Amino acid sequence: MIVSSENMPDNVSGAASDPAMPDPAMPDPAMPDPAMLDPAMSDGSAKADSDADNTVTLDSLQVGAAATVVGIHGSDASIRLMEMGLVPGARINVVRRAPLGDPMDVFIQGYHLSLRAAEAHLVYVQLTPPGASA
Amino acid sequence: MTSPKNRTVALLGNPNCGKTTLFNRLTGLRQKVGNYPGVTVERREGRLAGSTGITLLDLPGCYSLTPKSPDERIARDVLLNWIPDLPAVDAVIVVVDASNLRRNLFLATQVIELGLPVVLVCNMLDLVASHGKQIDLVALGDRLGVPIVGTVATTGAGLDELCTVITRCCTSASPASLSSSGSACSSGAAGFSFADDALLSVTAPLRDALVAHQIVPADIACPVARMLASSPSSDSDVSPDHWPAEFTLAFARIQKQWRSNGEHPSSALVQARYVALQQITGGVVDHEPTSFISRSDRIDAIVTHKFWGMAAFTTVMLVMFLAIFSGADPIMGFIESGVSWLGGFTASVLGEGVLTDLLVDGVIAGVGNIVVFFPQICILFLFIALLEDTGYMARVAFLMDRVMSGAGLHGKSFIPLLSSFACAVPAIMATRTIENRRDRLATMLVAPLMSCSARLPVYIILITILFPGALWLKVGIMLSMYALGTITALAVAFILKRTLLKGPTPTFIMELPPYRMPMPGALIRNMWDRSKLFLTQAGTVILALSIVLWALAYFPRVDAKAGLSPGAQLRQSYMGQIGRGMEPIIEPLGFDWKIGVGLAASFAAREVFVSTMGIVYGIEGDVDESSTTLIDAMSNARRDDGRKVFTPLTGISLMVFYVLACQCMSTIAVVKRETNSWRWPTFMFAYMTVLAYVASLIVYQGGLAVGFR
Repeated sequence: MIVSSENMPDNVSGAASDPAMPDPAMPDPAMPDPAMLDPAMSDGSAKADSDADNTVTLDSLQVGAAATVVGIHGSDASIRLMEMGLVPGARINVVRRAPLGDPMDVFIQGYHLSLRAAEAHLVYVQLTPPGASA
Repeated sequence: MTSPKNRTVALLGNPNCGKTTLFNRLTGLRQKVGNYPGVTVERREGRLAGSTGITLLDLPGCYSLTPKSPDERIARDVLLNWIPDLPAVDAVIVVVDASNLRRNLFLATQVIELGLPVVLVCNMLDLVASHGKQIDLVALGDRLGVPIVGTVATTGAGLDELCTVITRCCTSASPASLSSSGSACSSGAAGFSFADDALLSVTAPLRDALVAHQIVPADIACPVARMLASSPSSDSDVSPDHWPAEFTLAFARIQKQWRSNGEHPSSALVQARYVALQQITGGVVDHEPTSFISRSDRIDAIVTHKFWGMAAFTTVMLVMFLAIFSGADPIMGFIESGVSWLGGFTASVLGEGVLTDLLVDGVIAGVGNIVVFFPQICILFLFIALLEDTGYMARVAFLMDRVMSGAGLHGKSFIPLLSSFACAVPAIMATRTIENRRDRLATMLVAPLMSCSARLPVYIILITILFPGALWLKVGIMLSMYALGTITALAVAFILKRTLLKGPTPTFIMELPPYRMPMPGALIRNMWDRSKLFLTQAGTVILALSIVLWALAYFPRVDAKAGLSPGAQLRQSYMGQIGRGMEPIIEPLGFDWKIGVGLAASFAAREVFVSTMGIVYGIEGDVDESSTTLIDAMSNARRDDGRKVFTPLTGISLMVFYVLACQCMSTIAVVKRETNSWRWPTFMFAYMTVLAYVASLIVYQGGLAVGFR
């Protein structure tokens, strides 16, 4: 675990009870404090809206969905994911899944990134309502 | 200083940013390719065209200076002068992909913080322009406090200016404007903060340890501490060997403390840098990329499509294999006749004698056996270069990752394993693109299980002898052998990844770069650089082993006057003795000593089995798999008790042995070179031999038990 303690607020439970989070074996998700998000990095919905029902993991998104990254669960893979631009506030689009179902192709920071469902499961995102964002 | 002398300038950038193209443009043909000391990470350097003493060093592509692979570690270690025997770099050219500025600047700002003179190259401006965007290079350079040059490496635009800037950078005695950023702890490049006060105080113990143990100069200890702090764990793959033990201990202690306090700064540091990058790039690009529908995406919609994508993929692979197997044929025939002409010529010039035999049968024939695969290897590497340069290679990994991950491997293992159907040697060299060390080792260790083209002559001759007629049976057996190799390879990889090479699940975080038109010159150069390694190897290790194998079959000599046939000579040679010595061991597999000699000789190269059988059975003249006299002789060969030697059961058992055994000195030599130790080639040889023996034993004894003969 490498996410700092102030990154693990109590609103975790709301996210964990979400039916879209399939794996109960996963350790408690670590969510960044919404206050840590820089206003310059996030659009309004990600910063202000702490409605946990809207927060899901990236692997559960449908192809074509648009969302905003809100946090990454701590693991060795998470640093590389963040270095590749999956930082809180970044907008993300699910472009497609590979013909065999895994991995997936996402559009982030202006480029295409491929990652497995297991890695996408570490990424917490907030769905952008259809039409609200490009 | 008036003219720069003996300056080293490092070239750094993300993968797919056009760095290699730029490097080729800047250095022309004067390049040296080698390895870094102790690791098989490619080291490429060349003289800057038009300069007197500036050497360009092409560092491996990386996304961050917090390394995740040996390649990325090298980049960091070169910049920090952490590699013994390598001169410190005098300046760094950081290449960024202009169409993907923010993520590329992540690395660039890390380098700028180190205080080295940096020249920022904003490449692929044409791509940006084609999207109708513009980048304010002046503003960006001002904000970062470094000189900046816009280029299009593929056309050469901007390169003259870049050369001038590099030369000026190397000439000026005090690049004052460039080295200002390193000293300040509180601020990064030109006042941008990559860490707030809280992060600075958390990373302070590591900074103090770096200074106390003299790992880096005090003025850059702060950014280096932040870089090291982002490391998820102190993996031995990415820690320099020369670190004093006390520092390694101190670092581990600090890491532990961070964890127990719940204040590990790694993710906060990355986040802080992206926040700063948002400010740095703000207003520099006239608008943010909003649409992800480009030409590249339209291609992807087809080539990664559920149906059309798989169809396209199968077609590409089929074309590649057709080219390897049939395209190389004429040249291979040409090389074969060249080798035999050279042998004949040498023999006629030198006359009879041991030296002639050594040169003709040992050196020329031995090396010739391997060099004959050179055309196939060239074609394979040409295809790999083509797949890489167009960007399709990443799609292959994307399409096949699900299949490979089932065996615990990475999508990038697919091409090396597929290449192994042609030859394991280039396949093992192609594993260099796999970042994770364990994945790469697992791929290397199972690659030789795929049936390479050297096994084909063995399969052909055995199937012809044993199953005359019955075309469907021939094809079926042939395919079964290929299937056996493939399934075993995946199964062994699965087991290795759960036992010897156990580790955290490797990640598949891979950029899918936009498709690009490959440049013929770059393709040829890429192919040649890799194929050349194969030839060098044939000239050294394989040459030596060929001589040893030749000597084993040649000595001890019997009196020439006795007029022994080549078969009788081989029988009493060391090789023959090995074959007969092996007989009790291989008897349970259904093999006699003659097959034993074939197995031993096959260590040079598997297809040598055919010509060795020719000698053992006393066939004069050239022997190949379609030689009818050899087929007759083998078909009629009897054991002492009158039973046939080559029954269908023996044949299947022998083929299974060939599928699984590691009878290839080139493969062993290349694994030794790529892993830098004898440990893994020894392990590979041992496990494959055991596997082959046990499988053949089961086939033969099982076959006998159920009544086959």
